[in-house]
Amino acid sequence: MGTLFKIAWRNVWRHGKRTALTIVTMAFGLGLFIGMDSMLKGMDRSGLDNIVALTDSSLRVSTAAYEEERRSYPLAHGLQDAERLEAFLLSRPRVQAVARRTRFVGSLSNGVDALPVLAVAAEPGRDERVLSIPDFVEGSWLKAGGERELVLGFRLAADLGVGLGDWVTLAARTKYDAQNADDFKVVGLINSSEPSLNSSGVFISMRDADGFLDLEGLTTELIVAMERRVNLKDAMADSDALAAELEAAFPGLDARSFGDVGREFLELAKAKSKSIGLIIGIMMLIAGVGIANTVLMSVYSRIREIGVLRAFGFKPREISRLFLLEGGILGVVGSAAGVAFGVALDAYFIYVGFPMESMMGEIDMGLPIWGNLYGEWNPQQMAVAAVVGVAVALLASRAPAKRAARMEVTNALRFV
Amino acid sequence: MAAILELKQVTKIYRKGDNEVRALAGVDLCIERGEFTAIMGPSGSGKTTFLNIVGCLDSPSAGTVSYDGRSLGAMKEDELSEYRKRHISFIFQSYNLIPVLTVRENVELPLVIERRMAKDEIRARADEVIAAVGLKGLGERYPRELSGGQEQRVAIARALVKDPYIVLADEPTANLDSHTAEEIVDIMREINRAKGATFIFSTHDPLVKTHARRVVTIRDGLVHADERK
Repeated sequence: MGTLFKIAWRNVWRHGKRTALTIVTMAFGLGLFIGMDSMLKGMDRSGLDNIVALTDSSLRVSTAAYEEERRSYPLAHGLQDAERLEAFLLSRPRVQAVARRTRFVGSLSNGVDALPVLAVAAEPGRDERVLSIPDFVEGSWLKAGGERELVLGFRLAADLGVGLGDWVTLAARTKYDAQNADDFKVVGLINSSEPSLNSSGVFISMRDADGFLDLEGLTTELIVAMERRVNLKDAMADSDALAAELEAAFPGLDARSFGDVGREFLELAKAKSKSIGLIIGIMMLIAGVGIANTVLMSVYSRIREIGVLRAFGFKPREISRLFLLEGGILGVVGSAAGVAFGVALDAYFIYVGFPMESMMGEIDMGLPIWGNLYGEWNPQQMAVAAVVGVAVALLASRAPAKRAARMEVTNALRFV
Repeated sequence: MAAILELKQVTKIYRKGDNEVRALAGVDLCIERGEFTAIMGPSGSGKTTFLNIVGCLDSPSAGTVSYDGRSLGAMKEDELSEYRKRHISFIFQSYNLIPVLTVRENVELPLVIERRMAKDEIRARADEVIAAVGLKGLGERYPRELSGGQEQRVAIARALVKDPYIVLADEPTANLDSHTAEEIVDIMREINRAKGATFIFSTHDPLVKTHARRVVTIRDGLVHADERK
């Protein structure tokens, strides 16, 4: 094995440029796979964080009737006895905070143009204990005693051409289906990692909404903050259990747990990673063809050498092993280079991040995050990449190795 | 002297499409241990086919080849490889050294393939043979750093390192100038004398012919003449 390895190793480096090209192709494919996986993992994590921290919270409670007509955000199906519901939720062990919200459909105007919006009436002072939108607000979040204040996504503001301190007109139908409109002062612009908030988020205080929409204390949903868990599965299980408990205790209510929303999100993410897997598969196929070509060229350039080795007693399977070994060396070196490139990419994505904002500009890529996208280490996937690299190399070398082994000694020795 | 190699009615027919080429047409020959035999004949006479069959690189279409009384006819591919590994060595016209191995590693190769000696023994044996062909001190060089004559000396050392039954050389001096060719034949002759190694070599070179103790001429696939000196 020692001599076989020596011959294989030295032959691999005999044609430096050819070998380097093959290794670079492999390293690029594998490194990109590792880097993309890191980004996808980071995207999943950010997306799930966004669900809990910015959009849905750990649990969102509304009536079943409201949930059925959710797309139109009807004000006809408010929560009955919200106090008792809040008290029940706050008595549960892992629940940390509860806040009321009322969503409504309206339009926002700068005086010239108007855009349809899905607005949220939130409770200043309580809402931020459940969701952390205020952390991403330029200017200020809704104040408890503030009047006719409005916070909106920075993209929406840009579309309307308004900024901090400007007045905008919000129009909507009241609970009694009467058209109403009022002016609100823009006090905050949201620039968060959740793109939907940036492009369509509009928030006013529950007190303003109460007068504006004749709500008379109507709340369409409760949002719930639960104790943070390190393990995603635990966090999902906690919210699922609380949802089941609540629906059992309050028939007619609909509780959407983080588990429900998170699983839907991960299903969509899985589809994305499949398409990226396909791209990587194609890249590995190219690398495989490159390795097969490199080994085949090596076989053809060493036909006489094969003849000599056979003449001195090498068996066909030893000749085959020699070329498989060359492919294996290419695979191991290519995989090592690929993992090194992947680690470098990961490190960049983890510590510096991928600036979606400056790279994508105004283009909405439909990704569930915004701002700086950070990657995540995934040693398991690195190991998979390395094993796949070596396996592809060995597989690609099989046919040329077989061809070398099948050569007639006399023909090989005659070859010039 | 005892016969080390015996060919009886050896025939080799190649088929190329509908054509049949009879490279050997019933060769009978007996080679004794320690002989220094030249195989001569015009191009296409069957010299290389003869060496291929004697070297177990090819099998005859008919007839038998025996080494030390043992017939090789029934041997399978792997057994023939094993036989070559143990008992037969080759010297090629174009030297055919492994370019990625040093002189010493090239010479060690047959012993490494054989896997019967310890690493230290292999090294000592290789050094001894390298010195015997006059290349002492060049063990760490690569073939590309040697002249044609030096490369052929390495090829001779590689052929002799495992003490084979027989050394087969296909036109070993064809690529060398006359002075170097004479040196190479002298080395082969000296080793033949000193170690008793059996040499069979094909050649067109009249100079080589003068050094041979026995000259077998093949023509049209048959032994045309067999002269002993």
